[in-house]
Amino acid sequence: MLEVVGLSKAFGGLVAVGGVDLSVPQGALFGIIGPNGSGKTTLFNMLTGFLEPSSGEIRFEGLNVRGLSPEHIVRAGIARTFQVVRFHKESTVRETVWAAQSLHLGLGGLFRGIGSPSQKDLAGEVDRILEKTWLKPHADRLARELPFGLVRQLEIARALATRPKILLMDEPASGMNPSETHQLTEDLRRLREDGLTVVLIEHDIEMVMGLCDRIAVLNFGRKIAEGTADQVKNDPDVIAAYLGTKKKRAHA
Amino acid sequence: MSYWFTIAALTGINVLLAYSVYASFMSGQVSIGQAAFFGVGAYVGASLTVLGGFDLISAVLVAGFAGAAASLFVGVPTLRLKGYHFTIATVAFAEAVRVILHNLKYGRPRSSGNVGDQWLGPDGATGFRHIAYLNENGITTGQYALIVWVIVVIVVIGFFLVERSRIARILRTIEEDEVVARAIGIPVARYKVAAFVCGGFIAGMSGALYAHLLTFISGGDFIIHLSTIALAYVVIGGGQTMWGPLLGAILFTVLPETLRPIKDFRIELFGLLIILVMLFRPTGMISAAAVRRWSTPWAPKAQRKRPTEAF
Repeated sequence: MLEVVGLSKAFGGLVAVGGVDLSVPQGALFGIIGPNGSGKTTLFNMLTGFLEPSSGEIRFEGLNVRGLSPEHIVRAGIARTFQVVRFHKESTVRETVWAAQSLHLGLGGLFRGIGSPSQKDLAGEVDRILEKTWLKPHADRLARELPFGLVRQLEIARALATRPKILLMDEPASGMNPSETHQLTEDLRRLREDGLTVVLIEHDIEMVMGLCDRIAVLNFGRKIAEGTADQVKNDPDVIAAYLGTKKKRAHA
Repeated sequence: MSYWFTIAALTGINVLLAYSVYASFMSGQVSIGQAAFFGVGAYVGASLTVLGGFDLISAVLVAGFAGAAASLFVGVPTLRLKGYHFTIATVAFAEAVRVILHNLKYGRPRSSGNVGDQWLGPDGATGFRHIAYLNENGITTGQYALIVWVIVVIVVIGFFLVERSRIARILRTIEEDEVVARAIGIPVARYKVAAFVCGGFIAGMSGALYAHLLTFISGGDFIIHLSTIALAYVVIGGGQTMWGPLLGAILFTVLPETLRPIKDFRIELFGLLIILVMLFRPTGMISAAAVRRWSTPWAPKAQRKRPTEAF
């Protein structure tokens, strides 16, 4: 579904990502791990159009999406979430999701009142998304009033409202407590069952190992391993580069 | 009575000016150059009725388009800039426009008039005099105030509809975080330019109405002071909802007039009020939270309490 060939990004002399190949099949839960500064977020930013790659190719469902702007890439069906979450301070949960539906509408639809009968389908979709992300009881609260775990859910809800085929998540579990992480794991499994392909960057290795059916490991901008959790766990390069040779785990 | 009609018309004109700032304010773009579009609208509108034989409404509309064209000219190159750069560009543009208006001379000689006052049309630093459309067509100040307020009501209804549509949600998303806006598929630059150009249109109309009310305009009317006051209407009234600019413009046009008896201190009082509002109510007088509270009085108490900054 998402094919990446020889993708590179250099900032001056610094090679942040050097020739990464990835192939994410339809319906996968794909994890990308790596130590700090290994190029994970740079890779994500290239996939979502926020950064222009220095070289390489990105194909999504056979279409070349390299060089498209972020707003076009979302329209093609690649949505993303951010590591640092920000919302409009005076918007409610529901209003935040409304904005993310705008790409489905023409100018006339955008100007129509959100409560108008012609937009009933979109309103129903918002309800379904909020239910899926546990936000239904909080729909009319201000986004900034939500507890942290639910803010993460709102980030997911907003991405889902763009009707993505593939969802790229940048450290969705960062700052979450274990029970929230567990909940997130369950949610992501359910999203996959609904037909969504998910790619996540994570620091929480245990979560990725338990959740993803395929994992790629980055180090210094290069992919040093790819495979199932067990294959990656036992890869000598990964153990040396990421998990450390003496220590059991690098700092997360 | 005519005096109060003049104040009423002036209030309406200032409300329009406030909304011209608010349009791009919604997307987080602060313009301190609305005087430029206001001035362009004033000169274009006045020229059309005085020299071109247009009727008032057509002249006001064309002036709106002139304001929109001017804002498009500034907006397209500068709205790609981030934050303060745009604001500074609007200031610079307004200053350039003021100097141009100050030096503009076109028109034709008047058939009558005193020595040294025989020119119809803008006459450089002397300004644009004898914008006599209202007088010539027998429109009283009261009738003119009504015309102004009909236009105000149309604009207010327009903003009311926009505020309930996804357009407002989109602009607010851009205001908060452009990266997020792009990530949900919003063409940010296009929206920012569109909002700014709408503001330019409203400012242009407002300027044309101003010119016909005052009958005499000059480049000196369209200084940065005017742009700042226009921004102050929005910031003090409240920039989070469409009701803030309305209240701000009405209050700060009417209040200084009613304070005329203490005329030596009224400007100082005005300044003090601005400081007090900024100090005790940084959201402006009407905040989004307040509007939410009024529009849903049945909302449970729990939602009404002041949110804590938990993260």
